[in-house]
Amino acid sequence: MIKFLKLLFLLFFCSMANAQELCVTSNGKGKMGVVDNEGNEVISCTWDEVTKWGRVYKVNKGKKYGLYDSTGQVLVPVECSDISPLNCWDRALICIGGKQMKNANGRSYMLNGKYGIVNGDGKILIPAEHKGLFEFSWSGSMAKILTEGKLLGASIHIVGDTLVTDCKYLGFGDKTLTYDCGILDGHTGKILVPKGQFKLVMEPRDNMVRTYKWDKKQLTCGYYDIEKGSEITVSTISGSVKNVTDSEIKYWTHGDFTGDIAPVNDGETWKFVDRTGNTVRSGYNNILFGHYAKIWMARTIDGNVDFFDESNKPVEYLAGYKDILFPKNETDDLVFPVKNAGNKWGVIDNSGQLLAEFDYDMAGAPTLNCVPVNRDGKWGCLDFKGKSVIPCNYVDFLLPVEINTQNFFVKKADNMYYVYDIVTQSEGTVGYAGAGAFRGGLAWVRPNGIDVPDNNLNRGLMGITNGEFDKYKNEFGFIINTNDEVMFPELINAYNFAKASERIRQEGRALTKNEAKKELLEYSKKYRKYNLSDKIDEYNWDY
Amino acid sequence: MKYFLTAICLITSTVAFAQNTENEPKYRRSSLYSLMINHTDQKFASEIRNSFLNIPIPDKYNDHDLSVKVVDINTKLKNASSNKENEAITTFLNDNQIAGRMVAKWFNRDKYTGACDMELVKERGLYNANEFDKQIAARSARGISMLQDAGEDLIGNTFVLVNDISYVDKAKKGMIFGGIIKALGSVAQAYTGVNVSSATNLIGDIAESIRGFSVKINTFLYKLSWNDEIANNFYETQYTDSIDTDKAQNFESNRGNYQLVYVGKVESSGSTTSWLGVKLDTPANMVRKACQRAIDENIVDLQTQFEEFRTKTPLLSIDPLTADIGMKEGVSTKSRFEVLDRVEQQDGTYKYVKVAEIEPVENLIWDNRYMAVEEGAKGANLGKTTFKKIKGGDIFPGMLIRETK
Repeated sequence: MIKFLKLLFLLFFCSMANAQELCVTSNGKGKMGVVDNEGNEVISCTWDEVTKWGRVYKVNKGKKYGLYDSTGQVLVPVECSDISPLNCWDRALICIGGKQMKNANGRSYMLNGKYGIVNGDGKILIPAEHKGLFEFSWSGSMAKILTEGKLLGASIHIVGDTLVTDCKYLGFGDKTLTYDCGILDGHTGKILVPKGQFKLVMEPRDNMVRTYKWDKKQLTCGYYDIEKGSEITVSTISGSVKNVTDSEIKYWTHGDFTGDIAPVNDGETWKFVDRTGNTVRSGYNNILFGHYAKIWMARTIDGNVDFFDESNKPVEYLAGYKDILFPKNETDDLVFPVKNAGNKWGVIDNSGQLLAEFDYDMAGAPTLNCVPVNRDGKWGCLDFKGKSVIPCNYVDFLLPVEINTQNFFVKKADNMYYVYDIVTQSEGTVGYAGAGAFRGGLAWVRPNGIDVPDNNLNRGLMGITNGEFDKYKNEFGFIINTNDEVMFPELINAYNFAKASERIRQEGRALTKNEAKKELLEYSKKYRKYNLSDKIDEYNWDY
Repeated sequence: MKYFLTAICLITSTVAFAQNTENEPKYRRSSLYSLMINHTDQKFASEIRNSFLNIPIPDKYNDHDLSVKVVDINTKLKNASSNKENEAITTFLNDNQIAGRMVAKWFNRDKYTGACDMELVKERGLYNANEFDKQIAARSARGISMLQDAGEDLIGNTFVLVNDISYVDKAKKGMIFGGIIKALGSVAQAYTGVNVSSATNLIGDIAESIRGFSVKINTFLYKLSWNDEIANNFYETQYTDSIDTDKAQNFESNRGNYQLVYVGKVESSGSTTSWLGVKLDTPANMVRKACQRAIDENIVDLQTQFEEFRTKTPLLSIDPLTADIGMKEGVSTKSRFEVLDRVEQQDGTYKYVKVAEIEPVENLIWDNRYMAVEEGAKGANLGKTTFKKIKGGDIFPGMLIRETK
């Protein structure tokens, strides 16, 4: 009977604590472990703490951490000084050794610890052998000489922080804080670029790594070929470099490889080099790369334009054109507005087939099935098949923010925005002084001449407590649907459009004034100010 | 055999109960509107205000907040230390007709049309919605009883907390620590190549006080006055579920007649909250930790002193006895709880009957105070507190516990 009751107890406790097969338990003496449904210890109740971590269990005794699987096998020995939380790519840092310190901001890290990478199954992908182990997580735009790409986030690892990338590539080095690293394959641990050769390496692109070496006198720019295991130098520039953001050199030196070629800047013109470092093209003063089309446009000093692909092959169907606009989004079809020798714009597809005649004076970059075009000073829009969806009758129109939108705002000669339905090819009858593009069938609009009171609520919505309010009045309007029907019947600022739209969609109808008012009070809660001595005006209350 | 049958029932009920652990058993709670008085003349007024706005109504209460949560004062609150009703606070509550607004919230009153409904009453009262509507529509004795029950147990248990929060400046203790942060700001810049000195200096400024950060909170408790006379008047002359300009106007004219009754006041200890678990580059966490712990402490004190403010909590399990409360609710080894069974009467009302007494098991008291986990506090990961029965009869799932004085 006692055994039976014990079974019941464990059955109940396990089901209460964890609906799965195993459960974390305490032995009542301050120690934790894991038991199965029959009460058998899978992980002994000898640990200070046991928590589910990924698909395994993290245990600790004092300041030592490790990982166990659900059969009680050790995956990572309990000798780590830290195991970070898993990130959304199922990667975490493990650290062995080191002394816990606080950085300048008072946050903990392990000084001189050795780092590795583990996944949510507890599998060690990179053994904890590296004092410096970093992700390519910082943007190249932080430094002029870099401009694009990703560089190593060469900083201390704060205890409790997650990794921020999928760790496909990792920098490794001998110091806790340094760009002076080699590169590992983050999945296999294989060394792709040895350490100690470069002051800085960028995230690999097409198996080529952009590299930098510098001293007080010059900067050496090059690449490292991962497949061949060899480096090339493409330029040497005079000027001192202290670090990437502190340099006498104030221009973008060379770009990442796209396919077989990369752009290099000698300070006056651009050239292109291949994977051996040989110059394959030169003499350009302007270059542009279509990331999704994978096509380069390069304009020479005398105004000629070359189009070539990542293999440096000329793109024949673009030959002769004077300009091109590339699609903005990865999901966009490959259609290109191009300018011909007669300075007229037309639209072609990626085989060179003409979709729209060279009939336009200006064009805009294709985006979300919309190619803006201008004729005789008036704007209209073509779809990605070259068909006119908005005739060139308008002063302006708002670009779509979602694909295949049926409704746009067009600006007419009265300087007001009107809803335009591209299916029925009809304009709305209500003009607005300001508008935002439709999202999910709703749009923010500002009617002409509305009175926006300077009060606590409106200031709260703008997040301002002091100072002038008048300059913000144009931020306020209403939310409408595609039939010009008001869906949010209180003045709302554009900033809160998304939140209010979400609420409208939840209700599936226009909000009542009362409902809209409550939403505004919620959005402005943080910034509305009152005094204890106030009799607060009614518009500030929800009830 | 008897044991076997009991065990089967136990398994069945516990398994069924276990399946509901993600959705805590429903039970009636008191309703709470929590306000703050912010001293704008003091250091960290903005941080304290923002922290307060992020502190939710404790989960043992229904959220009955109104749209005004913080009011400012640029001097000391007169007579804040006294236990007597505070004139400035009561004046604010009366001038702004808080009681009437709280009644309006109970009935989801549309400010523009005056239309009301009973949805919140039904939801918080755990009534069978269809049955409630039927009885109310029929104006039956059962329906009247249900409304009386709702009044007594729900609307009548609506409270206002006014938290007068002052920063306690213990800057001297923290100054050395802050000085180090400022000096190291420029070193950090060399490592990252990014200018961090300005951010670090700001953090240094806050860190100069962070280790000594403490708040003192005077919490004043008011209760909504609601009885049969008030209820009848409301239902007859002001409640309308459609547009009725007369009834809407009646309510507007009578807003000022609804009252809050002063119950009492407590004061937090003002002790320094441990900074353990707080990352110093996010000092807002320290502010929130100090404020939330002090408010929670005051709520516990108010519950100890004023029985009407005490909350009931459902048992999560009966073997062992566990409940979703802990040190945040003031549970300690000295706590005692009565176990209550909620019994439905024939007229549709509910009555609470005491069936047993229990006390917490030492070392199995959950530390659920704000940031206890980050602090590495003992018991922070327990997830619940375990109890043992001291006396009384059988205890079953769904029963509630309430601390006794």
